[in-house]
Amino acid sequence: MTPADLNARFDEHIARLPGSTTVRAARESAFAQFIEHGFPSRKTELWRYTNIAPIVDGGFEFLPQNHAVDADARQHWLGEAGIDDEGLAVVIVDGTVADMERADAGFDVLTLSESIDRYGMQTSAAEFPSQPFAALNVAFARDGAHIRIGYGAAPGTPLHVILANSAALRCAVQPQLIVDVAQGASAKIVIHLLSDSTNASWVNLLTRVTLARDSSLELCRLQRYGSATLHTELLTAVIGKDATLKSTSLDIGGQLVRNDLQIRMQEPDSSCDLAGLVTPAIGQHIDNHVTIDHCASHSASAQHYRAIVGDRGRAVFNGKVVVHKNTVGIEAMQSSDNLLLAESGEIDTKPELEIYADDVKCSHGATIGEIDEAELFYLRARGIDEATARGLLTLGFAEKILERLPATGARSAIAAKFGLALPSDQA
Amino acid sequence: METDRTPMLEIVDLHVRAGDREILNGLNLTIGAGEVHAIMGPNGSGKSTLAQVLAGRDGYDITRGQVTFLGQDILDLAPEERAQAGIFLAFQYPIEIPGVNNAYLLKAALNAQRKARGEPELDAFEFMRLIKDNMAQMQIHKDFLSRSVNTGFSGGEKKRNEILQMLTLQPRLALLDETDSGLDVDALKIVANGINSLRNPERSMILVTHYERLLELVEPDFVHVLAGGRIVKSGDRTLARELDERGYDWVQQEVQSA
Repeated sequence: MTPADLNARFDEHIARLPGSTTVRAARESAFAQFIEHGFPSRKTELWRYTNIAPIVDGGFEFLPQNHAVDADARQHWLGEAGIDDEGLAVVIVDGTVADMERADAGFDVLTLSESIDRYGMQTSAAEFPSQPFAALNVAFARDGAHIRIGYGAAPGTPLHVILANSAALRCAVQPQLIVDVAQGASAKIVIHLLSDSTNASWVNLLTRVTLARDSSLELCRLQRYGSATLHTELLTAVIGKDATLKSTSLDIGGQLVRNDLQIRMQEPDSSCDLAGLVTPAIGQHIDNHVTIDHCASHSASAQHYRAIVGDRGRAVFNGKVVVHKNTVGIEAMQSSDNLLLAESGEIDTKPELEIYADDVKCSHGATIGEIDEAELFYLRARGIDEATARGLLTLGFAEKILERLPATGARSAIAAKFGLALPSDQA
Repeated sequence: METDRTPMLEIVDLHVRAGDREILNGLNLTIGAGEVHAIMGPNGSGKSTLAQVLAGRDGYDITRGQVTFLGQDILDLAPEERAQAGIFLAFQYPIEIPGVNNAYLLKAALNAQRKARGEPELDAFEFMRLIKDNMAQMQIHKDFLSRSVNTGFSGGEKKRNEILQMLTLQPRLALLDETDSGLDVDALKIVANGINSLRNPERSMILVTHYERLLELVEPDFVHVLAGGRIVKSGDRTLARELDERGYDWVQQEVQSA
């Protein structure tokens, strides 16, 4: 897929994409921004550890025809996500949104094309000049969801969003999620990224979160793709005064996964608490790149990232914190802890701090280790066999992140993936 | 009957090295069923090594000697096999295990041991009923069960947790490695009561300790002095009092002049 190929596809599809002339101009400018630099190369520092050849060489079908997602398909994917109740859920299959309830319990949901019709393109590629895939998303985005939580609303149950990919298609899916949390509102959204085991699509997701004053959002992102799906993502959030974002992501599946997070502490006393667990093995490559911009005083950020790396798995973490000029009382902490289960695994972890202010409390720490021998002996001395002890310690390492997520079988999925032995009644 | 005369534990001429250092140097010790033995000695004499080697810790070379437990040679057994056979080590420094909660560990351990003995595993309800009394006895709050193993526990809580595990697992041979260290008077009493409640004619104990104060509360049948990697003096519990008053130098002088 050369830029020229992409150009041809863009010209071919632009007329079918939703939006007015203004939206079309936004798409064209986003596409031009992408074309200017092309696909990122490993020569640039931001992509040094991640080879995107499987995407460039993937030969994906762009924008397959709109197909209706029937009720059975919707039900199937709700089941796959482990959601049994009939609550509000957004289900997007191969880039198309299934019919759904639009408003419930404090959430107000539009499909992306409805949102584009009503408000125009909410995302602008100019906001993320160093994110070529996000620019591509703005150019091609057709479907997705625009989720609004109104003034002071506090829905009692989370909203589930399922992005599912079926085996039938090998396509480039460019979904967009826009989340606006109004002043004083508080909500939780659970994003499920799923695909069939043979699916080899490329999902290029753009999620844009805006948190108004005194609001809070908890975002849980559970990625359990089959082993051949490719994924690139930008989560961008702008956090207002006294507002809080709590985000936890789990990556179990996928062949190549690159998650960028750009979090902007825009107003004083804003805070974010980000966590992630990745579990690459058997040739999987999972990369989390976080950038936090502290633009306002007394803002606080925390990053807790963990990786469990098995045979030929590769985990990449880059956590960058920028403390801007003329700010005071910034607190930023970061930890990257990594458990290597096989010698053939690889872990690259790097903290980056750019500090242009004086009154700052920043900390970072990275560890890479194997199962601790003293812990292993302690469990074995209680009568637990070695394999089960290793299983318990491996899941124990994951627990610090998993405890932030809803119980959806993540523990058993991780246990199955690494072939962990567990006590008979707890497997 | 033959089985009546089989000792619980028999250690014969045990030599243990760690790297270039010889730590145990011809240690002999026989422990009968129902007996409580205290092992005292100066720092670095090999007391903790003995406890760790009996429990099966890696990293030691056993260059000579034999250890039989209930008639079975245990030196080739994995730590879990020894635990399943009935050996329990209360750690001097209990290990913190973030992410694994106490109830989970206790239940997994108990069921692993029951399974090895061919007994049915306990379900959650049976398990809770079993440990409720043990927790009350150790004055351990219910919240404790959902906390990660030893993580953020005080020194006293860690030691009480070791004894809770021992009460739950009901070993045949308990090795208590400096279980009294780091305890205040009240915690020491709780721990001692826990240990005493397990004393019976079918169960033996080795108390590794520096101090005599535990031995006032858990009265040993025998007291041994370990120095230079072997047992140099044995006696009854009056020996512990003498060591407390006079230190260890006189024992070592006595050995050298003999």
